[in-house]
Amino acid sequence: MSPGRAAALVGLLAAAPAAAGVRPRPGGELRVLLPAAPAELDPARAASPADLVLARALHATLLEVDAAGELRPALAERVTASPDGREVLVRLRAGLRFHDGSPVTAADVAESLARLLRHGSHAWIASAVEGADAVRGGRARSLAGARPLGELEVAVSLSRPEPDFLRALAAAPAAVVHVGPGGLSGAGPFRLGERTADAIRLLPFEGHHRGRPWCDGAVLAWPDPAAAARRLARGGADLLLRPEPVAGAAARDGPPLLLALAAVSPRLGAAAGPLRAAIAGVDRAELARLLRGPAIPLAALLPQLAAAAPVAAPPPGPLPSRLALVVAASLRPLAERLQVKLFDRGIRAAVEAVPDAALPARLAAGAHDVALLPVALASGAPRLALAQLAQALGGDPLAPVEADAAAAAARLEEALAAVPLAAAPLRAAARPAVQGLAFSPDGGLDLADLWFLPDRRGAR
Amino acid sequence: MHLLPVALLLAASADAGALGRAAEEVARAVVDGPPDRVSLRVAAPGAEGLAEPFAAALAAALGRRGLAAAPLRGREPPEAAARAAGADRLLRVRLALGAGGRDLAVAVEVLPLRESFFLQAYPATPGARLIAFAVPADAAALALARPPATARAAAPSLVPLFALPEPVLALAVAVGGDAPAILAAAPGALLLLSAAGERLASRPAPEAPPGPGRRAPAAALAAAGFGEGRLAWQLAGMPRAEVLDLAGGRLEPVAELAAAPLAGGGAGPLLGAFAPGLPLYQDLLLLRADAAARARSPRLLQGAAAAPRPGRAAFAVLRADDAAEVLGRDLAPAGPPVEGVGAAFALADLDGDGEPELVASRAEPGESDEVRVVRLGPPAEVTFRSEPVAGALLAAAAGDLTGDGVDDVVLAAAVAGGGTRLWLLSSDPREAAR
Repeated sequence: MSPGRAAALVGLLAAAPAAAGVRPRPGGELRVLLPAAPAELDPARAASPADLVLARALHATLLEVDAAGELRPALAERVTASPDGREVLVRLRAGLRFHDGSPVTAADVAESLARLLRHGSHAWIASAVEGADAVRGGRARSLAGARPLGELEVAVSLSRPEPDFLRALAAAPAAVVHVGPGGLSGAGPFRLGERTADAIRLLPFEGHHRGRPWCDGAVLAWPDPAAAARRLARGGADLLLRPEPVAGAAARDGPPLLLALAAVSPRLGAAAGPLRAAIAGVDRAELARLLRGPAIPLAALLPQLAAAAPVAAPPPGPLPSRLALVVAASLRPLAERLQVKLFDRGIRAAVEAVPDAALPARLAAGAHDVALLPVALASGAPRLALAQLAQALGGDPLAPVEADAAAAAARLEEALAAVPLAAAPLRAAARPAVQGLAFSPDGGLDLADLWFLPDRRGAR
Repeated sequence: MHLLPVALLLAASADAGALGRAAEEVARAVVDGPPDRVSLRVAAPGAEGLAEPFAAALAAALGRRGLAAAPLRGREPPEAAARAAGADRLLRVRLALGAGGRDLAVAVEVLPLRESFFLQAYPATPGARLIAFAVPADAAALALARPPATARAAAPSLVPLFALPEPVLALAVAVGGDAPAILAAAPGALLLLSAAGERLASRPAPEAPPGPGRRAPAAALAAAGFGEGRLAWQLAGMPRAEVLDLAGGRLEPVAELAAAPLAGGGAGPLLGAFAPGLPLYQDLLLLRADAAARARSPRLLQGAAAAPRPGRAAFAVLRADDAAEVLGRDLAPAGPPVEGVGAAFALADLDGDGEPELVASRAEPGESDEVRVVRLGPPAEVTFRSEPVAGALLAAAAGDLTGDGVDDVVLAAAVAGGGTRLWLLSSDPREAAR
């Protein structure tokens, strides 16, 4: 939505049917196999595709991206923006509650925005709100630019024009949460049920703004790839959210969601530039084949910016003879191939694999020369995705991203010494009885929209 | 089944049944003065078969009490005809089946006839008065009330009616006004449409209350069982149903209902409740509103239908597993469930044999749909299958839209782009010839 015009999203009292011409049927428990164990219940800290799936199930945002890529009201009944886009008034739907029974209020909206800056990896969502720097820097607890006006209205002031601010509010980590005595509570279509070491049970929430989910609940599990495929093939699962193809199951790919990036540390000094060039010279198609599923070589920092401005040639210089390559465990095959390719260039790389969830802290420690990291994009909007990448690569999450996304991508690559490698979508393979399977353009999959065809038994 | 001989047999035994009891009741109430001459005009709108046997039974009952009673026939105004016949009093009787066919309602206007209009002279009989009561209906009365079979086409035909730009959530056929009309509940309004698609009236949807929404819109709609010329509708998420009056071609609110009007037919209304947060019904079926009623089971229902002319089957409900339960007037099972029934379904006596058939769309989603007519069993038998219908059939309702005295079915197919195409399934030969 452009900043120069007022935007008004009129509340839809009734959601559209899940699919044109089909009336979904309720019932059944949805058994979902994720690519990995969700590491976070807090949407502000959601980092992996599994985290984002869980965040969308447990939490709700003020706005949503519909199937056509347009914003639609969710917890918000109405969102209006001033002509310059810097004053945003959010009106909440009345009568909505969190899973713990507490009402969804304007104060929860303001606090949820502030939490993004205090915690986790999605400060970019609230970076333009006035007072973001004070909260990020620990000088203030609440955002000066997010002011509750009564129970149901909150006024948000932006310190700079941010044309994608409303779209940022639709990203899963921007969910409105309530922090009560019992902990974090969401307003998503499912409530958290039993949680064990290898599964999470979700219960339907009748108070969701779009109504109760079609299914009577969901069980999320994360077996290894072979076991997951077997379970789906034998009818022991309904939906497999993994990149690998599964024989006999219809699959649907979302937009590219998971990016594999290399970040070269500035501690290499003059060798950083030539090393970037050396990594960028590796055949990315070869690397992409090492990502599971239908991965594509990443020619620019974002898949949608394939025609991005070329990065300026790095200055010639000596390559380091040894380097420390820290890699997320999920990208280990890429790291090993890169290790071989760098050896061909006379560089001995020592690969250290760390759990994906531990990688941000490991990178913050700075004891690496090159890092290979996966980033699960939380928004399909290029400028927002770039803002998220900037934070993931160690950049300033509050820095504005310029209007021209292609130019911004090129600048970020240069500034953060990043090399895009490959991108992969989230692939959904489902039993034929599972209906309503559709990714939104931002890569989201709403489990609450899924329903089952009844078992066909007996005479017809 | 051949209805005419059966009707004659039933008429012959009317004196002993509900008609006889009702006739005796009227005779007792009327014989309150000196013996006089009485003319009878009996009408039974919608149940015309009752009129003649009741007139005969009432004449006999009055005769046993010493009154000379003569039924009036023909189209002449009854007062003029009675005066011409030399009667002292005119009894204008209206009969109807009420309470979902469980009662025979009787209303009698007792009108003294003036000896001289100019002198304003009356005979020495009591003045005008109204007698109204009801007796339990019996099988004979129900059989007589059923319309006679008419000439049928060999099979029903499915013909397109018209298109609507909006999605249709529920349908009903309103009869009893100047002309039959179609009611279509859309997400934003209730539409009253002529059979040709002309928008006769509309009623905007009430403002939704605060709180959670529904995963998809849904509506309950019933056009029978709420009084003559009245209907009830409720959008899922609304706290109460609206009862609207169709008088004058308008949709005027006259009352509210605390229960969802799932369907309405000859056996009266079928009431229930939406499931929390879902565009479906709880498994709660009521013949009259009852706040203390409990659901039959935790299952959910996709929809409900009511037969305009019930036989053994009066209602049907569609379970979430696509099986339609067929129910009698008392909501007891009236046959085995019919499986594989789609969201558009109706109970309609398409062949005029006195027993409604189940009209159903296909349960599986697809690019096109079809309409099937299932003769209820056991065993159930598919007697008609239409050519493919573009889109998906999502709503249906039964009623005599063609005015031939036999049920028809209107169906709504959701088509690409969000609009709706309405179809008519009818055994009326005139529709087949269109």
